[in-house]
Amino acid sequence: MTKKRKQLYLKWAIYFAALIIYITGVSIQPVWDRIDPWFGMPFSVFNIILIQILICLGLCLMYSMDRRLAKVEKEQRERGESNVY
Amino acid sequence: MSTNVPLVIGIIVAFFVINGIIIRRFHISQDSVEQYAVGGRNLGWILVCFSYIGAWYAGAIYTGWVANAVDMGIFVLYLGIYSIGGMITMYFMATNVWIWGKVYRLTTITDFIRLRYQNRVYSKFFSGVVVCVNFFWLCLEMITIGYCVQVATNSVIDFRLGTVIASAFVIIYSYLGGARATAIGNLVQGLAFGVVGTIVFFVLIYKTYGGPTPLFEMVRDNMPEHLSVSGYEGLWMSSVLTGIFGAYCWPQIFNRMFMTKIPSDSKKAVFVAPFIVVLVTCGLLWIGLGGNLLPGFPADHQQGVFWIANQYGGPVVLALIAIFALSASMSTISAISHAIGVMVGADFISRKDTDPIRKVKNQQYATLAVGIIAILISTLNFPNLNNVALALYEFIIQAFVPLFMGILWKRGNIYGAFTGMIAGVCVALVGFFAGSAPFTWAGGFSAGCVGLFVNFVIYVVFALAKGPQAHVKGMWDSLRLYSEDGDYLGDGTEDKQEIAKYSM
Repeated sequence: MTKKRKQLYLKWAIYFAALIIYITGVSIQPVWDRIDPWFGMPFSVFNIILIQILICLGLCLMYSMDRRLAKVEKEQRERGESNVY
Repeated sequence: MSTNVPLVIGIIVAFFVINGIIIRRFHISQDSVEQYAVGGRNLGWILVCFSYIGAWYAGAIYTGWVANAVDMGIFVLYLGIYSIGGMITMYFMATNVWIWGKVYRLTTITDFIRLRYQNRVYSKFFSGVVVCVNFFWLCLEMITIGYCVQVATNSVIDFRLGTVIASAFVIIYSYLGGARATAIGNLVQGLAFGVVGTIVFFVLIYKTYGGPTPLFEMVRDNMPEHLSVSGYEGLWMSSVLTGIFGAYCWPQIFNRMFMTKIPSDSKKAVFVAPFIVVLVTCGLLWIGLGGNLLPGFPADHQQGVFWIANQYGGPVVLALIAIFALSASMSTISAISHAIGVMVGADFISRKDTDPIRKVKNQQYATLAVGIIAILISTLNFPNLNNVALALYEFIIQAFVPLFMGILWKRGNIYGAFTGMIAGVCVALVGFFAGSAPFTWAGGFSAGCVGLFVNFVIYVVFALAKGPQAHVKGMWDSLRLYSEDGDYLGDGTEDKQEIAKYSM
């Protein structure tokens, strides 16, 4: 794993860790009691959907950045820059 | 529940025939361990993606989870969160696991554990824990498949007969076709319950309640407590966390990472799998939310989704729902029986010097034997198997620490892995037999989560105190041999003797 990829994964690991803390609701418990309507659904349900969307988008974005990095690494290898790793 | 039983049976039989034809059409000879165990490491990302969905989504979500949605409300939506959360752990592990799989010819989760920690006793212990836990789920899914057949056919087909016929069909194609057959079966079944199922469920929500908004208004007016998880804080947190951490500890899920052509193919699944998971979870579980408010809703809430389908959609929709539930069960049964068969064949029957063809036969016979034993146990109708299977999650997550940390951290060693996992399993055992009373101080976290924390601390302490094992440097050096796109980057000077020494 290259240094750049390690840095990329670290950033995303922090993002997902924050999201998992949010999901477990340790710090924001009252969120789960709110049933006032948001976009046609109770806020508690909307909150769960929002969390899922944030995870899905995070994964997709991470994959896109990962691919871009892989492309750069490949170009570097083709140019003979062997110290990519 | 009165319905057109011959029509329902006809549609179910047609689905089985379609499955059989497609799996047969793509069957290839199983002439090597890699072919049988991991599909020759040559499966495309779509196959692996649906294979993940198929292996992960159990038929029990159509029965047990829907019943929980009726009784507990939105609490059950933890299922969707942890399912996609599990993909996060996959993402961070995929490249290393694929490269080590390729270099050291790994085919199972215990192959990886044996390579990483180089201890035969520990790898057997690890294998024993995951096989035992998995076997309970196999039996549970077989019971579910029989139950679904019985309910959909209005008891014309008894649950035992349903279990035997449907499970035997799955076991036979897993035995004959190995990983490739299970992946192709998972694709057909995953498309059925993931794509077609999602559409049908949302149509049913409109037909039953008038749409999601009227459904939520109805629940808010009559059972507002069902729209909050505040009564289940501890359980909610534990359920989400055990699911996320436990996802890739299941051997049938983990070995998907060995099956792709290149490392990034496993990761590519993030474009499809999470979205299908979210839609399936919402569609199916939202239906159950208002079940209690429907006149005539069955007292046995596990029948709920079938009753709604028949009542508001008619026999064709009932048959479709039965097919979705059967698909979810079939894909899980094939993935688990194959994974256990491969592990038992490799870890407990074959030796390193066993003839390769013999090794494949051993794995095939093990798959068959595991399937037959599970079918026999399933027909005995053990009480509380559902609760036991769910409780076993507390044990499987103990595998997360040696697995995840072992993949990402060089310093982890056998001392921390073994003692940590034993400590974690012991804590989970206390919770299993004594209940939650000894863990009230943990703020609602389950015994398994407490065990996981203990496990993690022990692992880290030993890693810092004793440092990495000698062979680990070679493992990490080998990560430079392949790129993200599976290109070979070595110059042929790698230590082939050392690689051969540790290869499976």
